[in-house]
Amino acid sequence: MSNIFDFQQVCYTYPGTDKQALDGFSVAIPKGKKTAVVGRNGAGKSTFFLHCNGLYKPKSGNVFFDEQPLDYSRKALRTLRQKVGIIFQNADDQLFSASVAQDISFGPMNLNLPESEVRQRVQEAAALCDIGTLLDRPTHALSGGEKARVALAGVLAMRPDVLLVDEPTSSLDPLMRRQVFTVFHRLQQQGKTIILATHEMAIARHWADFVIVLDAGRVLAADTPEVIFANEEILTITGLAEPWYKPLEA
Amino acid sequence: MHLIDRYAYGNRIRQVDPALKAGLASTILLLCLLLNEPLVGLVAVGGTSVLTITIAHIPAKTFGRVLLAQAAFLIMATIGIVISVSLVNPTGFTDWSCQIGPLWLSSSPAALQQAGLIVTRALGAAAAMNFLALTTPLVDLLDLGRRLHVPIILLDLMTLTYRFIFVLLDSLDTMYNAQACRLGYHTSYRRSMNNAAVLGSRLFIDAFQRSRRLEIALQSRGFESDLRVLPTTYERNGRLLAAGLLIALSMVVAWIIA
Repeated sequence: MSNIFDFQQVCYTYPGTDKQALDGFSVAIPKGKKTAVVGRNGAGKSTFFLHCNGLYKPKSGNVFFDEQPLDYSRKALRTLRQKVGIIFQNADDQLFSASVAQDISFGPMNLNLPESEVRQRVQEAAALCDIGTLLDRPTHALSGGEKARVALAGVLAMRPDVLLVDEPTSSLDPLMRRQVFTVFHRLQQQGKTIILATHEMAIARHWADFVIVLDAGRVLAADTPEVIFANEEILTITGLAEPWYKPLEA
Repeated sequence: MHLIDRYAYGNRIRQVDPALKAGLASTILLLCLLLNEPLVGLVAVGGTSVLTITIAHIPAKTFGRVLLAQAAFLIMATIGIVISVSLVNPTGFTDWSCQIGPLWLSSSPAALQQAGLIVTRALGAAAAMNFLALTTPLVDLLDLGRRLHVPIILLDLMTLTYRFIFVLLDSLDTMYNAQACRLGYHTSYRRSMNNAAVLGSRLFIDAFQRSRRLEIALQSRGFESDLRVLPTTYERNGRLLAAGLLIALSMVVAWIIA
């Protein structure tokens, strides 16, 4: 089984701070599988994601994509960002255009595809995310769930091999969540790799094939959900033990 | 703002090429400015009202209210033209005068005529612009700008400004409610002002952080130097074109008669 990403001893600090956001971060993520990334707030999930498409460059250590070391040249980054799609937690941060159709077309246009091809991809991505009827609507008139799916379509229109999603369930109602996971399911059947950052243990335990536990910029454990959720120690350190809510004792 | 925006997206000629709509509006506007007669302005107001109400199906009440608001500003602005104030008796220059304390207020038929001309001309021009604003969403105008080779940087700035006006309004709303829920505006005037200032600075920081996140998200989708998007396809509308030309023609006829 080959790995889609391989991080080897990656360290990263944000400009102007001393704190290591990633601190000797090492993990290999299997290709074509469903991976869940869990960990407390500030454990490094988002920083890790932004290393996957070369937006952040490690201060030390190496990142491999599809067995090749990342190439940070302009041309290589363009190819990388087509293959690695990231969906951000807050859809409003990602949607820049007041036109839904134009927003979805942004990624494919940046790939220098001919107009007819872009048009086809917009339709295709919209159909995949069930937002065909929203294409003519202004972005600011959409509900939170609709915005989330438009943001997803905007990334899928680039036909990525890997999809990284930051908190796909936050702020979505149960019906919307199911719809979004239906889309993930369709993608997975096309052989794509899906990586979710989540605080929902149900997703990590029942949806994922592979779970990565982060703590303070390091990978604490990376294994199948069965192994991870049998390890009391890991669950206690990260506060991920289920159930997260217990009535307080008197 | 929200109201105009809603009609811009929901009117009957939304799908019509913005080039046609903008072309009509600017022709009427130009004629209003070039043909210097009150009748021309009135024809323009009448013509664009018909265009907006019957063809675009914007409620007459909405169109009237927008125009009325502009008329109020215009009339206030022309008060200075109609009425002159002086310390000396203007008798000899004009018969229309009266004295209030040491001041003389006066007017003249010529001043009234001048004001009438300005109001009708400006109202005609405003009506033409209202037609465009109520029937064409900004994204279509940006599309048109791209076709007319307006500098990309300008269009990109407009794209982002327009989109984030709504995002910022949402943030403003949430922050204001959060303050109000904790009685931020219920104690004293001083506290209210202070809280409003905090809200303003918070909003600025929020916008700044949001712009960083937007940049990251755009780069992830291959953003390099400009916001390239698919041009929209539009419909032609012969009826609108014919009606517009008819209005322009009647404006010229009105000018010749006057």
